[in-house]
Amino acid sequence: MAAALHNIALQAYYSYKGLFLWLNWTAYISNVFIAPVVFVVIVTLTGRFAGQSDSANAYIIGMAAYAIPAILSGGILQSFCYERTFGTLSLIYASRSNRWVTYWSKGLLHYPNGLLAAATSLLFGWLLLDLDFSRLNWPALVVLLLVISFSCLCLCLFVGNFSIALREWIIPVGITNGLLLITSGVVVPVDQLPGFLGEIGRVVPLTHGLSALREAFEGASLGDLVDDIVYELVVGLCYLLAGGFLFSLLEANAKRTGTYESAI
Amino acid sequence: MNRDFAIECERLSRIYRSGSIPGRGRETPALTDLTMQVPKAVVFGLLGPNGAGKTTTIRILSTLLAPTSGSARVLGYDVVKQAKQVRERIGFILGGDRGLYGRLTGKQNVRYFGALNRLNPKTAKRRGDELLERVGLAAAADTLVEEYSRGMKQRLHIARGLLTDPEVIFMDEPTIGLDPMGAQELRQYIPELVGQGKTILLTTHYMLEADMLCDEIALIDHGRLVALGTPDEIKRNFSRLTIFEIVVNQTSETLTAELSNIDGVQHVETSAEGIFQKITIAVEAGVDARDQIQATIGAERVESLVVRDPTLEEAYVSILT
Ligand SMILES: Nc1ncnc2c1ncn2[C@@H]1O[C@H](COP(=O)(O)OP(=O)(O)OP(=O)(O)O)[C@@H](O)[C@H]1O
Ligand SMILES: [Mg+2]
Repeated sequence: MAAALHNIALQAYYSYKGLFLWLNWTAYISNVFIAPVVFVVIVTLTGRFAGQSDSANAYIIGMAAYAIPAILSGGILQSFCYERTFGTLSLIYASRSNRWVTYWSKGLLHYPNGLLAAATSLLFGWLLLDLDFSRLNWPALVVLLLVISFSCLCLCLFVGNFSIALREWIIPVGITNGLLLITSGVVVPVDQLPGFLGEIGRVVPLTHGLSALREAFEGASLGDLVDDIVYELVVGLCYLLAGGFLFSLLEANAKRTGTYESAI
Repeated sequence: MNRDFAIECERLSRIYRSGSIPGRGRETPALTDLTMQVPKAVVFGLLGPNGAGKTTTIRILSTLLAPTSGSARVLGYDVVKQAKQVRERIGFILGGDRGLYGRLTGKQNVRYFGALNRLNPKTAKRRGDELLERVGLAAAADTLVEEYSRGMKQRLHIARGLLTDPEVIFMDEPTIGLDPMGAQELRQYIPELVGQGKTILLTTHYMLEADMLCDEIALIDHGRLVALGTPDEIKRNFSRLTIFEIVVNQTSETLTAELSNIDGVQHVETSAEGIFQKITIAVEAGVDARDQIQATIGAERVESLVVRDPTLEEAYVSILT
Protein backbone atom coordinates (compact mmCIF):
# COMPACT_ATOMS: atom_id res chain seq x y z
CA MET A 1 0.00 0.00 0.00
CA ALA A 2 2.75 2.43 1.00
CA ALA A 3 4.68 1.42 -2.11
CA ALA A 4 1.62 2.00 -4.29
CA LEU A 5 1.07 5.48 -2.85
CA HIS A 6 4.74 6.25 -3.21
CA ASN A 7 4.52 5.27 -6.88
CA ILE A 8 1.50 7.47 -7.45
CA ALA A 9 3.38 10.37 -5.90
CA LEU A 10 6.40 9.67 -8.11
CA GLN A 11 4.25 9.49 -11.23
CA ALA A 12 2.47 12.70 -10.32
CA TYR A 13 5.69 14.54 -9.53
CA TYR A 14 7.77 13.42 -12.48
CA SER A 15 5.09 13.83 -15.10
CA TYR A 16 4.32 17.30 -13.71
CA LYS A 17 7.96 18.28 -13.83
CA GLY A 18 8.58 16.62 -17.17
CA LEU A 19 5.57 18.01 -19.01
CA PHE A 20 4.57 21.33 -17.45
CA LEU A 21 6.73 23.70 -19.41
CA TRP A 22 5.57 26.74 -17.43
CA LEU A 23 7.48 25.35 -14.50
CA ASN A 24 10.14 28.03 -14.59
CA TRP A 25 10.20 31.26 -12.62
CA THR A 26 9.13 33.64 -15.37
CA ALA A 27 6.33 31.56 -16.81
CA TYR A 28 5.07 30.34 -13.45
CA ILE A 29 4.86 33.77 -11.83
CA SER A 30 3.32 35.32 -14.93
CA ASN A 31 0.69 32.64 -15.33
CA VAL A 32 -0.19 31.84 -11.74
CA PHE A 33 0.05 35.29 -10.18
CA ILE A 34 0.30 38.18 -12.61
CA ALA A 35 -2.17 37.16 -15.34
CA PRO A 36 -5.09 36.43 -12.97
CA VAL A 37 -4.62 39.73 -11.16
CA VAL A 38 -4.51 41.63 -14.43
CA PHE A 39 -7.74 39.95 -15.53
CA VAL A 40 -9.47 40.75 -12.25
CA VAL A 41 -8.50 44.39 -12.56
CA ILE A 42 -9.46 44.69 -16.23
CA VAL A 43 -12.88 43.11 -15.85
CA THR A 44 -13.74 44.92 -12.65
CA LEU A 45 -12.73 48.29 -14.02
CA THR A 46 -14.63 47.60 -17.23
CA GLY A 47 -17.68 46.77 -15.15
CA ARG A 48 -17.38 49.99 -13.17
CA PHE A 49 -16.87 51.99 -16.33
CA ALA A 50 -20.02 50.44 -17.75
CA GLY A 51 -21.85 51.87 -14.76
CA GLN A 52 -22.13 48.71 -12.67
CA SER A 53 -20.05 49.92 -9.75
CA ASP A 54 -22.30 48.15 -7.27
CA SER A 55 -21.36 44.82 -8.89
CA ALA A 56 -17.62 45.28 -8.35
CA ASN A 57 -17.56 42.54 -5.72
CA ALA A 58 -19.33 40.14 -8.04
CA TYR A 59 -16.80 40.80 -10.81
CA ILE A 60 -13.80 40.39 -8.55
CA ILE A 61 -15.10 37.16 -7.09
CA GLY A 62 -16.08 35.89 -10.55
CA MET A 63 -12.69 36.57 -12.03
CA ALA A 64 -10.90 35.17 -9.00
CA ALA A 65 -12.84 31.94 -9.40
CA TYR A 66 -12.22 31.97 -13.15
CA ALA A 67 -8.48 32.20 -12.46
CA ILE A 68 -8.71 28.58 -11.31
CA PRO A 69 -9.68 26.95 -14.63
CA ALA A 70 -7.57 29.50 -16.50
CA ILE A 71 -4.33 28.27 -14.96
CA LEU A 72 -5.38 24.62 -14.68
CA SER A 73 -6.38 24.33 -18.33
CA GLY A 74 -3.11 25.82 -19.56
CA GLY A 75 -1.01 23.56 -17.38
CA ILE A 76 -2.92 20.34 -17.79
CA LEU A 77 -3.70 20.57 -21.47
CA GLN A 78 -0.11 21.35 -22.38
CA SER A 79 1.01 18.39 -20.29
CA PHE A 80 -1.26 16.00 -22.15
CA CYS A 81 -0.26 17.41 -25.52
CA TYR A 82 3.47 17.17 -24.75
CA GLU A 83 3.00 13.62 -23.51
CA ARG A 84 2.27 12.74 -27.09
CA THR A 85 4.78 15.14 -28.65
CA PHE A 86 7.62 13.84 -26.51
CA GLY A 87 6.78 10.25 -27.42
CA THR A 88 6.27 9.27 -23.79
CA LEU A 89 2.64 8.33 -24.27
CA SER A 90 3.78 4.94 -25.59
CA LEU A 91 5.54 4.32 -22.30
CA ILE A 92 2.18 4.56 -20.59
CA TYR A 93 0.43 2.45 -23.21
CA ALA A 94 2.97 -0.34 -22.87
CA SER A 95 3.21 -0.11 -19.10
CA ARG A 96 1.67 -2.12 -16.30
CA SER A 97 0.24 1.02 -14.76
CA ASN A 98 -3.36 1.35 -13.75
CA ARG A 99 -4.54 3.76 -16.44
CA TRP A 100 -7.02 5.56 -14.18
CA VAL A 101 -4.36 6.22 -11.62
CA THR A 102 -1.86 7.36 -14.23
CA TYR A 103 -4.43 9.64 -15.79
CA TRP A 104 -5.60 11.22 -12.55
CA SER A 105 -2.13 11.55 -11.15
CA LYS A 106 -1.38 13.96 -13.97
CA GLY A 107 -3.64 16.50 -12.33
CA LEU A 108 -2.48 16.17 -8.72
CA LEU A 109 0.27 18.76 -8.64
CA HIS A 110 -1.64 21.21 -10.79
CA TYR A 111 -4.33 21.38 -8.16
CA PRO A 112 -2.56 23.84 -5.85
CA ASN A 113 -1.91 26.20 -8.77
CA GLY A 114 -5.63 26.86 -9.10
CA LEU A 115 -5.88 27.65 -5.40
CA LEU A 116 -2.88 29.95 -5.54
CA ALA A 117 -4.22 31.85 -8.53
CA ALA A 118 -7.63 32.33 -6.90
CA ALA A 119 -6.18 33.38 -3.55
CA THR A 120 -3.86 35.87 -5.21
CA SER A 121 -6.73 37.31 -7.22
CA LEU A 122 -8.83 37.79 -4.10
CA LEU A 123 -5.92 39.35 -2.25
CA PHE A 124 -5.31 41.86 -5.01
CA GLY A 125 -9.02 42.41 -5.37
CA TRP A 126 -8.91 43.61 -1.78
CA LEU A 127 -5.68 45.61 -2.13
CA LEU A 128 -6.48 47.29 -5.44
CA LEU A 129 -10.24 47.22 -5.79
CA ASP A 130 -11.62 47.26 -2.25
CA LEU A 131 -13.12 43.79 -2.31
CA ASP A 132 -15.33 43.64 0.74
CA PHE A 133 -14.37 40.82 3.13
CA SER A 134 -16.44 42.10 6.04
CA ARG A 135 -19.35 39.64 5.75
CA LEU A 136 -17.33 36.74 4.34
CA ASN A 137 -17.84 33.30 5.80
CA TRP A 138 -14.22 32.10 5.83
CA PRO A 139 -14.77 28.34 6.17
CA ALA A 140 -17.13 28.49 3.20
CA LEU A 141 -14.50 30.35 1.18
CA VAL A 142 -11.88 27.70 1.90
CA VAL A 143 -14.18 24.79 1.12
CA LEU A 144 -15.48 26.42 -2.05
CA LEU A 145 -12.03 27.15 -3.43
CA LEU A 146 -11.06 23.54 -2.78
CA VAL A 147 -14.21 22.25 -4.46
CA ILE A 148 -14.05 24.57 -7.46
CA SER A 149 -10.40 23.68 -8.03
CA PHE A 150 -11.36 20.03 -7.92
CA SER A 151 -14.19 20.31 -10.40
CA CYS A 152 -12.22 22.51 -12.78
CA LEU A 153 -9.29 20.13 -12.54
CA CYS A 154 -11.60 17.29 -13.56
CA LEU A 155 -12.86 19.25 -16.55
CA CYS A 156 -9.30 20.01 -17.63
CA LEU A 157 -8.30 16.35 -17.28
CA PHE A 158 -11.29 15.49 -19.43
CA VAL A 159 -10.36 18.01 -22.13
CA GLY A 160 -6.75 16.80 -21.87
CA ASN A 161 -7.83 13.81 -23.92
CA PHE A 162 -8.67 16.13 -26.78
CA SER A 163 -5.30 17.76 -26.65
CA ILE A 164 -3.77 14.29 -27.02
CA ALA A 165 -6.03 13.51 -29.95
CA LEU A 166 -5.56 16.88 -31.64
CA ARG A 167 -1.84 17.19 -30.79
CA GLU A 168 -2.60 20.73 -29.84
CA TRP A 169 -3.21 22.51 -26.54
CA ILE A 170 -3.62 26.21 -27.21
CA ILE A 171 -6.91 25.85 -29.07
CA PRO A 172 -8.53 23.51 -26.51
CA VAL A 173 -7.39 25.87 -23.74
CA GLY A 174 -9.00 28.79 -25.55
CA ILE A 175 -12.26 26.90 -26.05
CA THR A 176 -12.41 25.60 -22.47
CA ASN A 177 -11.68 28.96 -20.91
CA GLY A 178 -13.93 30.83 -23.29
CA LEU A 179 -16.80 28.48 -22.63
CA LEU A 180 -16.44 28.78 -18.86
CA LEU A 181 -16.08 32.54 -19.03
CA ILE A 182 -19.32 32.88 -20.94
CA THR A 183 -21.48 30.16 -19.44
CA SER A 184 -20.58 29.83 -15.79
CA GLY A 185 -21.68 33.25 -14.63
CA VAL A 186 -18.25 34.83 -14.26
CA VAL A 187 -19.27 38.02 -16.01
CA VAL A 188 -22.86 37.53 -17.18
CA PRO A 189 -25.29 36.09 -14.62
CA VAL A 190 -26.37 32.60 -15.68
CA ASP A 191 -30.09 33.44 -15.61
CA GLN A 192 -29.52 36.17 -18.18
CA LEU A 193 -27.79 33.92 -20.71
CA PRO A 194 -29.66 33.03 -23.89
CA GLY A 195 -31.27 29.57 -23.66
CA PHE A 196 -28.70 27.05 -24.77
CA LEU A 197 -25.79 28.90 -23.17
CA GLY A 198 -27.64 28.73 -19.89
CA GLU A 199 -28.06 24.99 -20.41
CA ILE A 200 -24.32 24.62 -20.93
CA GLY A 201 -23.76 26.65 -17.80
CA ARG A 202 -25.61 24.03 -15.82
CA VAL A 203 -23.31 21.19 -16.87
CA VAL A 204 -19.92 22.84 -16.60
CA PRO A 205 -17.94 23.21 -13.40
CA LEU A 206 -17.61 26.61 -11.75
CA THR A 207 -21.24 27.74 -12.19
CA HIS A 208 -22.57 26.41 -8.88
CA GLY A 209 -19.33 26.88 -7.00
CA LEU A 210 -19.11 30.48 -8.08
CA SER A 211 -22.69 31.27 -7.21
CA ALA A 212 -22.07 29.80 -3.75
CA LEU A 213 -18.82 31.72 -3.44
CA ARG A 214 -20.62 35.01 -4.03
CA GLU A 215 -23.14 34.09 -1.38
CA ALA A 216 -20.34 33.22 1.04
CA PHE A 217 -19.03 36.75 0.59
CA GLU A 218 -22.51 37.91 1.63
CA GLY A 219 -22.25 35.84 4.78
CA ALA A 220 -23.84 32.53 3.78
CA SER A 221 -22.53 29.61 5.80
CA LEU A 222 -21.45 26.15 4.65
CA GLY A 223 -24.79 24.77 5.73
CA ASP A 224 -26.63 27.25 3.50
CA LEU A 225 -24.46 26.34 0.53
CA VAL A 226 -24.38 22.59 0.77
CA ASP A 227 -26.57 22.02 -2.30
CA ASP A 228 -24.32 24.03 -4.58
CA ILE A 229 -21.23 22.42 -3.11
CA VAL A 230 -22.54 18.92 -3.71
CA TYR A 231 -23.66 19.84 -7.23
CA GLU A 232 -20.22 21.24 -8.04
CA LEU A 233 -18.55 18.10 -6.69
CA VAL A 234 -20.84 15.85 -8.69
CA VAL A 235 -20.16 17.78 -11.90
CA GLY A 236 -16.44 17.35 -11.23
CA LEU A 237 -16.81 13.64 -10.57
CA CYS A 238 -18.72 13.16 -13.81
CA TYR A 239 -15.91 14.77 -15.80
CA LEU A 240 -13.36 12.75 -13.89
CA LEU A 241 -15.06 9.47 -14.77
CA ALA A 242 -15.84 10.47 -18.33
CA GLY A 243 -12.26 11.63 -18.76
CA GLY A 244 -10.80 8.39 -17.49
CA PHE A 245 -13.08 6.49 -19.81
CA LEU A 246 -12.07 8.66 -22.75
CA PHE A 247 -8.42 8.12 -21.88
CA SER A 248 -8.85 4.37 -22.23
CA LEU A 249 -10.77 4.84 -25.49
CA LEU A 250 -7.85 6.87 -26.81
CA GLU A 251 -5.48 4.09 -25.89
CA ALA A 252 -7.57 1.57 -27.77
CA ASN A 253 -7.72 3.91 -30.73
CA ALA A 254 -3.96 4.42 -30.62
CA LYS A 255 -3.41 0.68 -30.84
CA ARG A 256 -5.84 0.39 -33.69
CA THR A 257 -4.64 3.26 -35.85
CA GLY A 258 -0.96 3.16 -34.91
CA THR A 259 -0.64 6.87 -35.43
CA TYR A 260 0.00 8.05 -31.89
CA GLU A 261 3.72 7.53 -32.19
CA SER A 262 4.03 10.48 -34.48
CA ALA A 263 4.18 13.86 -32.85
CA ILE A 264 3.27 16.14 -35.72
CA MET B 1 0.02 -22.59 -27.41
CA ASN B 2 3.48 -23.85 -26.78
CA ARG B 3 5.17 -22.91 -23.55
CA ASP B 4 8.60 -23.53 -24.94
CA PHE B 5 8.46 -20.57 -27.26
CA ALA B 6 9.04 -17.06 -26.05
CA ILE B 7 7.41 -15.53 -29.09
CA GLU B 8 5.08 -17.00 -31.69
CA CYS B 9 3.65 -15.15 -34.65
CA GLU B 10 0.94 -16.74 -36.73
CA ARG B 11 0.24 -15.07 -40.08
CA LEU B 12 0.72 -11.73 -38.39
CA SER B 13 -0.28 -8.81 -40.61
CA ARG B 14 -0.58 -5.09 -40.20
CA ILE B 15 -1.94 -2.53 -42.59
CA TYR B 16 -1.59 1.15 -41.77
CA ARG B 17 -4.36 3.38 -43.02
CA SER B 18 -3.68 7.04 -43.40
CA GLY B 19 -6.02 9.86 -44.27
CA SER B 20 -9.29 10.36 -42.47
CA ILE B 21 -11.59 10.85 -45.45
CA PRO B 22 -13.23 7.51 -46.26
CA GLY B 23 -12.25 6.20 -49.65
CA ARG B 24 -9.39 8.66 -50.02
CA GLY B 25 -7.03 7.11 -47.48
CA ARG B 26 -3.83 5.32 -48.36
CA GLU B 27 -3.12 1.81 -47.19
CA THR B 28 0.35 0.63 -46.35
CA PRO B 29 0.73 -3.10 -45.79
CA ALA B 30 3.60 -2.96 -43.31
CA LEU B 31 3.58 -6.61 -42.35
CA THR B 32 2.09 -9.52 -44.28
CA ASP B 33 1.54 -13.05 -42.96
CA LEU B 34 4.58 -13.20 -40.73
CA THR B 35 4.82 -16.64 -39.17
CA MET B 36 7.74 -17.41 -36.92
CA GLN B 37 8.65 -18.86 -33.57
CA VAL B 38 11.32 -17.70 -31.20
CA PRO B 39 12.55 -20.23 -28.63
CA LYS B 40 13.25 -19.13 -25.10
CA ALA B 41 16.66 -17.85 -24.03
CA VAL B 42 18.01 -16.97 -27.45
CA VAL B 43 18.91 -13.84 -29.32
CA PHE B 44 16.64 -13.63 -32.32
CA GLY B 45 17.55 -11.16 -35.04
CA LEU B 46 14.90 -9.45 -37.11
CA LEU B 47 16.66 -8.05 -40.14
CA GLY B 48 15.53 -6.27 -43.24
CA PRO B 49 15.78 -3.02 -45.16
CA ASN B 50 14.30 0.30 -44.05
CA GLY B 51 10.54 0.09 -44.01
CA ALA B 52 10.56 -3.72 -44.01
CA GLY B 53 8.28 -3.93 -40.98
CA LYS B 54 10.71 -4.60 -38.12
CA THR B 55 9.57 -1.82 -35.83
CA THR B 56 5.97 -2.63 -36.69
CA THR B 57 6.54 -6.21 -35.53
CA ILE B 58 8.11 -5.02 -32.30
CA ARG B 59 5.27 -2.60 -31.66
CA ILE B 60 2.73 -5.36 -32.12
CA LEU B 61 4.63 -7.72 -29.85
CA SER B 62 4.99 -5.06 -27.17
CA THR B 63 1.19 -4.47 -27.24
CA LEU B 64 1.51 -0.94 -28.65
CA LEU B 65 -0.13 -1.78 -31.93
CA ALA B 66 -2.97 -4.10 -32.82
CA PRO B 67 -2.39 -6.50 -35.71
CA THR B 68 -4.80 -6.16 -38.62
CA SER B 69 -5.02 -9.93 -38.82
CA GLY B 70 -3.18 -12.97 -37.53
CA SER B 71 -2.07 -13.44 -33.98
CA ALA B 72 0.98 -13.29 -31.80
CA ARG B 73 1.87 -14.69 -28.42
CA VAL B 74 4.57 -13.75 -26.00
CA LEU B 75 5.39 -16.44 -23.44
CA GLY B 76 2.10 -18.05 -24.37
CA TYR B 77 0.01 -14.89 -23.83
CA ASP B 78 -1.90 -13.37 -26.68
CA VAL B 79 -0.65 -9.83 -27.33
CA VAL B 80 -4.17 -8.56 -27.96
CA LYS B 81 -6.37 -10.52 -25.59
CA GLN B 82 -3.85 -10.88 -22.78
CA ALA B 83 -2.01 -7.62 -23.20
CA LYS B 84 -1.75 -7.14 -19.45
CA GLN B 85 0.05 -10.42 -18.89
CA VAL B 86 2.35 -9.65 -21.81
CA ARG B 87 3.22 -6.21 -20.45
CA GLU B 88 4.18 -7.72 -17.13
CA ARG B 89 6.85 -9.81 -18.81
CA ILE B 90 8.39 -7.67 -21.50
CA GLY B 91 10.76 -4.77 -21.82
CA PHE B 92 11.52 -2.72 -24.87
CA ILE B 93 14.21 -0.43 -26.11
CA LEU B 94 12.81 1.63 -28.96
CA GLY B 95 15.57 4.19 -28.80
CA GLY B 96 15.72 7.53 -30.53
CA ASP B 97 15.46 11.12 -29.38
CA ARG B 98 11.89 10.80 -28.17
CA GLY B 99 10.32 8.80 -25.38
CA LEU B 100 12.18 10.65 -22.64
CA TYR B 101 11.36 13.66 -20.49
CA GLY B 102 14.06 16.18 -21.41
CA ARG B 103 13.29 18.28 -18.35
CA LEU B 104 14.09 15.42 -16.00
CA THR B 105 17.48 13.91 -15.26
CA GLY B 106 18.42 10.44 -16.43
CA LYS B 107 17.85 9.06 -12.97
CA GLN B 108 14.44 10.71 -12.68
CA ASN B 109 13.38 9.31 -16.06
CA VAL B 110 14.26 5.84 -14.84
CA ARG B 111 12.43 6.33 -11.55
CA TYR B 112 9.35 7.61 -13.34
CA PHE B 113 9.37 4.51 -15.50
CA GLY B 114 9.69 2.33 -12.42
CA ALA B 115 6.71 4.03 -10.79
CA LEU B 116 4.70 3.77 -14.00
CA ASN B 117 5.35 0.05 -14.00
CA ARG B 118 4.52 -0.34 -10.34
CA LEU B 119 7.92 -1.58 -9.28
CA ASN B 120 8.64 -1.37 -5.61
CA PRO B 121 10.20 2.12 -5.31
CA LYS B 122 13.16 0.82 -3.33
CA THR B 123 13.87 -1.96 -5.80
CA ALA B 124 13.43 0.45 -8.70
CA LYS B 125 15.90 2.88 -7.20
CA ARG B 126 18.52 0.22 -6.56
CA ARG B 127 18.13 -1.43 -9.96
CA GLY B 128 17.96 1.92 -11.70
CA ASP B 129 21.23 3.05 -10.16
CA GLU B 130 22.88 -0.25 -11.04
CA LEU B 131 21.71 -0.06 -14.62
CA LEU B 132 22.73 3.57 -15.07
CA GLU B 133 26.14 2.55 -13.82
CA ARG B 134 26.14 -0.43 -16.16
CA VAL B 135 25.36 1.67 -19.25
CA GLY B 136 27.99 4.20 -18.32
CA LEU B 137 25.66 6.99 -17.25
CA ALA B 138 26.53 7.08 -13.55
CA ALA B 139 28.32 10.41 -13.92
CA ALA B 140 25.49 11.92 -15.97
CA ALA B 141 22.65 10.42 -13.93
CA ASP B 142 21.80 13.79 -12.42
CA THR B 143 22.10 15.77 -15.64
CA LEU B 144 18.95 16.86 -17.47
CA VAL B 145 18.24 14.58 -20.42
CA GLU B 146 17.81 17.59 -22.73
CA GLU B 147 21.55 18.06 -22.26
CA TYR B 148 22.35 14.49 -23.24
CA SER B 149 24.04 13.56 -26.50
CA ARG B 150 22.27 11.10 -28.78
CA GLY B 151 24.35 8.17 -27.58
CA MET B 152 23.69 9.10 -23.96
CA LYS B 153 19.97 9.08 -24.66
CA GLN B 154 20.34 5.67 -26.26
CA ARG B 155 22.15 4.42 -23.17
CA LEU B 156 19.32 5.73 -21.05
CA HIS B 157 16.79 3.92 -23.23
CA ILE B 158 18.74 0.71 -22.64
CA ALA B 159 18.89 1.17 -18.88
CA ARG B 160 15.20 1.91 -18.76
CA GLY B 161 14.26 -1.02 -20.98
CA LEU B 162 15.95 -3.40 -18.56
CA LEU B 163 14.61 -1.81 -15.38
CA THR B 164 11.69 -4.17 -14.90
CA ASP B 165 13.97 -7.21 -15.29
CA PRO B 166 11.80 -8.48 -18.16
CA GLU B 167 11.79 -12.05 -19.44
CA VAL B 168 11.50 -11.00 -23.05
CA ILE B 169 13.25 -7.90 -24.34
CA PHE B 170 12.60 -6.16 -27.63
CA MET B 171 15.54 -4.12 -28.83
CA ASP B 172 14.97 -1.94 -31.88
CA GLU B 173 18.38 -0.97 -33.21
CA PRO B 174 19.84 -0.79 -29.71
CA THR B 175 23.39 0.12 -30.74
CA ILE B 176 22.40 3.02 -32.97
CA GLY B 177 24.24 6.14 -31.93
CA LEU B 178 26.44 4.33 -29.43
CA ASP B 179 30.18 4.82 -29.56
CA PRO B 180 32.28 1.71 -30.31
CA MET B 181 32.86 1.03 -26.62
CA GLY B 182 29.21 1.42 -25.79
CA ALA B 183 28.19 -0.88 -28.63
CA GLN B 184 30.76 -3.45 -27.56
CA GLU B 185 29.58 -3.31 -23.95
CA LEU B 186 26.02 -3.92 -25.05
CA ARG B 187 27.11 -6.79 -27.27
CA GLN B 188 28.78 -8.32 -24.24
CA TYR B 189 25.77 -7.66 -22.06
CA ILE B 190 23.29 -9.34 -24.39
CA PRO B 191 24.72 -12.89 -24.06
CA GLU B 192 24.82 -12.32 -20.31
CA LEU B 193 21.09 -11.54 -20.32
CA VAL B 194 20.43 -14.64 -22.38
CA GLY B 195 22.47 -16.60 -19.84
CA GLN B 196 19.92 -15.47 -17.24
CA GLY B 197 17.22 -17.09 -19.34
CA LYS B 198 15.95 -13.97 -21.07
CA THR B 199 14.88 -13.92 -24.69
CA ILE B 200 15.94 -11.04 -26.87
CA LEU B 201 14.41 -9.97 -30.14
CA LEU B 202 16.80 -7.60 -31.80
CA THR B 203 16.74 -5.53 -34.94
CA THR B 204 19.90 -4.07 -36.36
CA HIS B 205 21.35 -2.89 -39.64
CA TYR B 206 24.85 -4.01 -38.61
CA MET B 207 25.31 -7.45 -40.09
CA LEU B 208 28.47 -8.19 -38.13
CA GLU B 209 26.55 -7.48 -34.97
CA ALA B 210 23.70 -9.74 -36.04
CA ASP B 211 26.10 -12.50 -37.03
CA MET B 212 27.94 -12.25 -33.75
CA LEU B 213 24.90 -12.09 -31.47
CA CYS B 214 22.00 -13.92 -33.05
CA ASP B 215 21.19 -17.56 -32.59
CA GLU B 216 18.52 -17.23 -35.21
CA ILE B 217 17.60 -14.70 -37.81
CA ALA B 218 14.46 -13.77 -39.68
CA LEU B 219 14.96 -11.67 -42.75
CA ILE B 220 11.93 -9.66 -43.80
CA ASP B 221 11.37 -7.49 -46.82
CA HIS B 222 8.28 -5.45 -47.65
CA GLY B 223 6.59 -6.98 -44.64
CA ARG B 224 7.16 -10.56 -45.75
CA LEU B 225 9.43 -13.19 -44.35
CA VAL B 226 12.09 -14.07 -46.92
CA ALA B 227 14.55 -16.14 -44.90
CA LEU B 228 14.59 -17.80 -41.51
CA GLY B 229 17.34 -19.78 -39.83
CA THR B 230 20.63 -19.67 -38.00
CA PRO B 231 23.16 -17.21 -39.39
CA ASP B 232 25.00 -20.12 -41.03
CA GLU B 233 21.83 -21.43 -42.62
CA ILE B 234 21.03 -17.98 -43.93
CA LYS B 235 24.50 -17.73 -45.43
CA ARG B 236 24.54 -21.20 -47.00
CA ASN B 237 20.99 -22.10 -47.84
CA PHE B 238 19.17 -18.88 -48.46
CA SER B 239 21.82 -16.85 -50.17
CA ARG B 240 22.92 -19.83 -52.29
CA LEU B 241 26.24 -18.16 -52.92
CA THR B 242 29.87 -19.14 -52.96
CA ILE B 243 32.45 -16.42 -52.60
CA PHE B 244 35.81 -16.48 -54.39
CA GLU B 245 38.46 -14.22 -52.97
CA ILE B 246 41.33 -13.91 -55.41
CA VAL B 247 44.44 -11.85 -54.86
CA VAL B 248 46.03 -10.84 -58.17
CA ASN B 249 49.22 -8.98 -59.04
CA GLN B 250 47.83 -7.34 -62.13
CA THR B 251 44.41 -6.48 -63.46
CA SER B 252 43.05 -4.95 -66.58
CA GLU B 253 40.33 -2.39 -67.08
CA THR B 254 37.95 -4.86 -68.62
CA LEU B 255 38.52 -7.65 -66.12
CA THR B 256 35.56 -6.83 -63.88
CA ALA B 257 33.21 -6.76 -66.84
CA GLU B 258 34.63 -10.02 -68.20
CA LEU B 259 34.24 -11.76 -64.85
CA SER B 260 30.70 -10.48 -64.49
CA ASN B 261 29.81 -12.12 -67.79
CA ILE B 262 30.74 -15.60 -66.63
CA ASP B 263 27.69 -17.81 -66.14
CA GLY B 264 26.59 -17.92 -62.51
CA VAL B 265 28.58 -14.89 -61.39
CA GLN B 266 26.31 -12.50 -59.53
CA HIS B 267 28.60 -9.82 -58.30
CA VAL B 268 32.24 -8.73 -58.67
CA GLU B 269 34.09 -6.32 -56.46
CA THR B 270 37.73 -5.21 -56.46
CA SER B 271 39.73 -3.63 -53.70
CA ALA B 272 43.36 -2.90 -52.93
CA GLU B 273 45.23 -5.50 -50.89
CA GLY B 274 48.69 -4.16 -50.13
CA ILE B 275 50.54 -3.94 -53.44
CA PHE B 276 48.06 -6.38 -54.95
CA GLN B 277 44.39 -6.25 -55.89
CA LYS B 278 41.74 -8.37 -54.30
CA ILE B 279 38.81 -9.50 -56.42
CA THR B 280 35.74 -10.76 -54.58
CA ILE B 281 33.35 -12.74 -56.76
CA ALA B 282 29.94 -13.96 -55.66
CA VAL B 283 28.95 -17.06 -57.60
CA GLU B 284 25.68 -18.95 -57.47
CA ALA B 285 26.05 -22.05 -55.34
CA GLY B 286 26.25 -25.23 -57.40
CA VAL B 287 27.82 -23.53 -60.41
CA ASP B 288 31.40 -24.61 -60.91
CA ALA B 289 32.94 -21.40 -62.15
CA ARG B 290 36.38 -21.88 -60.70
CA ASP B 291 38.18 -22.87 -63.91
CA GLN B 292 36.55 -20.20 -65.96
CA ILE B 293 37.39 -17.53 -63.41
CA GLN B 294 41.01 -18.62 -63.33
CA ALA B 295 41.17 -18.71 -67.08
CA THR B 296 39.67 -15.23 -67.38
CA ILE B 297 42.09 -13.71 -64.89
CA GLY B 298 45.06 -15.67 -66.21
CA ALA B 299 46.73 -18.29 -64.01
CA GLU B 300 50.03 -16.40 -63.92
CA ARG B 301 48.39 -13.33 -62.35
CA VAL B 302 46.78 -15.20 -59.44
CA GLU B 303 48.68 -14.85 -56.16
CA SER B 304 46.09 -16.70 -54.07
CA LEU B 305 42.55 -18.02 -54.37
CA VAL B 306 40.23 -18.76 -51.47
CA VAL B 307 36.69 -20.12 -51.67
CA ARG B 308 34.47 -19.33 -48.68
CA ASP B 309 30.88 -19.02 -47.55
CA PRO B 310 29.37 -15.58 -47.86
CA THR B 311 29.35 -13.24 -44.90
CA LEU B 312 25.95 -12.36 -43.50
CA GLU B 313 26.12 -9.03 -45.26
CA GLU B 314 26.85 -10.65 -48.62
CA ALA B 315 24.07 -13.13 -48.03
CA TYR B 316 21.69 -10.30 -47.05
CA VAL B 317 22.48 -8.36 -50.19
CA SER B 318 22.11 -11.41 -52.41
CA ILE B 319 18.79 -12.41 -50.89
CA LEU B 320 17.32 -8.95 -51.12
CA THR B 321 18.47 -8.06 -54.64
N1 LIG C 1 2.23 5.22 -38.26
C1 LIG C 1 2.35 4.81 -39.51
N2 LIG C 1 1.44 5.16 -40.43
C2 LIG C 1 1.55 4.76 -41.71
N3 LIG C 1 2.52 3.96 -42.15
C3 LIG C 1 3.47 3.56 -41.30
C4 LIG C 1 3.45 3.96 -39.93
N4 LIG C 1 4.52 3.42 -39.31
C5 LIG C 1 5.17 2.71 -40.24
N5 LIG C 1 4.55 2.79 -41.44
C6 LIG C 1 4.95 2.12 -42.69
O1 LIG C 1 5.07 0.74 -42.43
C7 LIG C 1 6.17 0.18 -43.10
C8 LIG C 1 7.07 -0.54 -42.13
O2 LIG C 1 7.64 0.40 -41.23
P1 LIG C 1 8.56 -0.02 -40.03
O3 LIG C 1 8.77 1.18 -39.17
O4 LIG C 1 8.01 -1.23 -39.38
O5 LIG C 1 9.92 -0.40 -40.77
P2 LIG C 1 11.33 -0.87 -40.19
O6 LIG C 1 11.59 -2.23 -40.72
O7 LIG C 1 11.38 -0.70 -38.73
O8 LIG C 1 12.32 0.15 -40.91
P3 LIG C 1 13.67 0.87 -40.39
O9 LIG C 1 14.78 -0.06 -40.66
O10 LIG C 1 13.77 2.07 -41.26
O11 LIG C 1 13.50 1.19 -38.96
C9 LIG C 1 6.83 1.34 -43.84
O12 LIG C 1 6.38 1.29 -45.17
C10 LIG C 1 6.30 2.56 -43.17
O13 LIG C 1 6.18 3.62 -44.07
MG1 LIG D 1 12.46 0.56 -37.45
